[in-house]
Amino acid sequence: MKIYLKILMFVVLSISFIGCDRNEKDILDPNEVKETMVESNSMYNLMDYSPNVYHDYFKETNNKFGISSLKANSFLPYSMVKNVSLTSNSQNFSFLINNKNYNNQDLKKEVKIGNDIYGKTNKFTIISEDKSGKTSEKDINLYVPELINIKNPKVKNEKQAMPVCYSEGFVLEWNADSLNEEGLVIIVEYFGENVIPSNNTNEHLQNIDMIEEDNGKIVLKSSIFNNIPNLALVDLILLRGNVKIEEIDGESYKFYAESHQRLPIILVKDLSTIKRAESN
Amino acid sequence: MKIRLPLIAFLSFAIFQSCKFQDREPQDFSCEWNIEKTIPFNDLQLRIPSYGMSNYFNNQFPESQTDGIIRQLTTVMDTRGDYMTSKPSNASLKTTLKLEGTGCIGEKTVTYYQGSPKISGNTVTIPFVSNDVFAGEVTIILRSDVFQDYANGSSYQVIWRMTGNDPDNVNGNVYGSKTGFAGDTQSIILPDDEPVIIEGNEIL
Repeated sequence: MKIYLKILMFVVLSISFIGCDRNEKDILDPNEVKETMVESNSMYNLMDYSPNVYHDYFKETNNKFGISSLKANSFLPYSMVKNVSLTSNSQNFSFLINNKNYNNQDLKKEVKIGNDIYGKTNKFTIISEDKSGKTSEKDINLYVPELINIKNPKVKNEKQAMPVCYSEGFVLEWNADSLNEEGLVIIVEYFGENVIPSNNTNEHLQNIDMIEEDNGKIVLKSSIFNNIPNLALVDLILLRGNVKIEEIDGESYKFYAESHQRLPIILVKDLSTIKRAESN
Repeated sequence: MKIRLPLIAFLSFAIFQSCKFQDREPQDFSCEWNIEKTIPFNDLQLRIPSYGMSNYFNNQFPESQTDGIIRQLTTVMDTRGDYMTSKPSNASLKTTLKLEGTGCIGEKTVTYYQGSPKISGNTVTIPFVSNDVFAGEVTIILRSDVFQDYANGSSYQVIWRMTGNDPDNVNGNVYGSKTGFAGDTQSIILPDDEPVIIEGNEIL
């Protein structure tokens, strides 16, 4: 199960995966550059250096049904979406969680859902109908960890909307979930932005690590900040969830649910570069 | 042992299921960034920091003297600061779109500068793919031009950051952060009452 979760996290997190191959180009008249562009082939670069177990997670299944929740910063509520992709030949499908129907007419369109699936074991149900009109129903039980909530660094007010954090001995705290046996994923994402604008670049890095125990506190490895410069603007992303892959009537199905929170920070690697000014 | 058992179980399962799963080949899932998509911001309210703004800034952004909320992206992009005004504006809007759908997997970052036609009052138009629907996240980092903080002999920008997982509903109601810096010493300038978090503790 632990392996499944890790793999799932990365599938769900495909959102968050790294790219190293970049092709930079100006897309307007070079005499009047209004924009720059960087393209990455994200996930496959991750496969080059991740443990092999993660490679397996990129295997495609016939069908996918997932719930993803994002807390974009400490002040905003969660934004929840449903992701469904189907390659099945069956005529009709219905997806239910705890007997509540999550279908809509356009199954590939993301829709907002409730948050009543987190912190408990849920029954995911698929009801399919073949061309002859015969229906079949399959149930899958999946524990979905509590919605993630970062507690430290804590954003107390607008002045600390982007807290200044020292990279060495970085303590990260969150709401623990003792029932989550799958651990968490921590990502540090750097968009090439720096406090000092002349130091901005077109880099885009995402350093990833696993947190094995969901006990609410960890000191981050310094390596997770590798290749990120002093005074960079970065996002800490903490994610946890669960995944299950099942074969149903000859087709593979991937079910998942996760939540993740972004915490924008200013990363300090050299404390001597912090200067104090008078408060206004 | 704790790791090995589920790993073996998973590998066994994967082998058993190999006839059902298909490996993704990179070439099969490369994104075709050949169309554009306009991202609208829901409830766009770019909040000006309520602390430490210079008189010049407040004059340039009259909103700071009313409700403190900027409601147009172009207001930020087009407003010049008082630092090296002879040089191009440092205002920028960077978008990073990450896609993980059934059609393709990839990401693209675009940075727009002052005068870009891709930015309107409350939308930004970004490259998109023709071979997938949106499934992923888009992150926007908006920076003002640079302003002078004469009292401290330093400079500053205001930075707003937004991320959304629904391309038609990116929440634009965000606080701006004043980030002071001294380029000559490559330093960040912090007010006396703004802590640095070291080993989990707030240090002033």
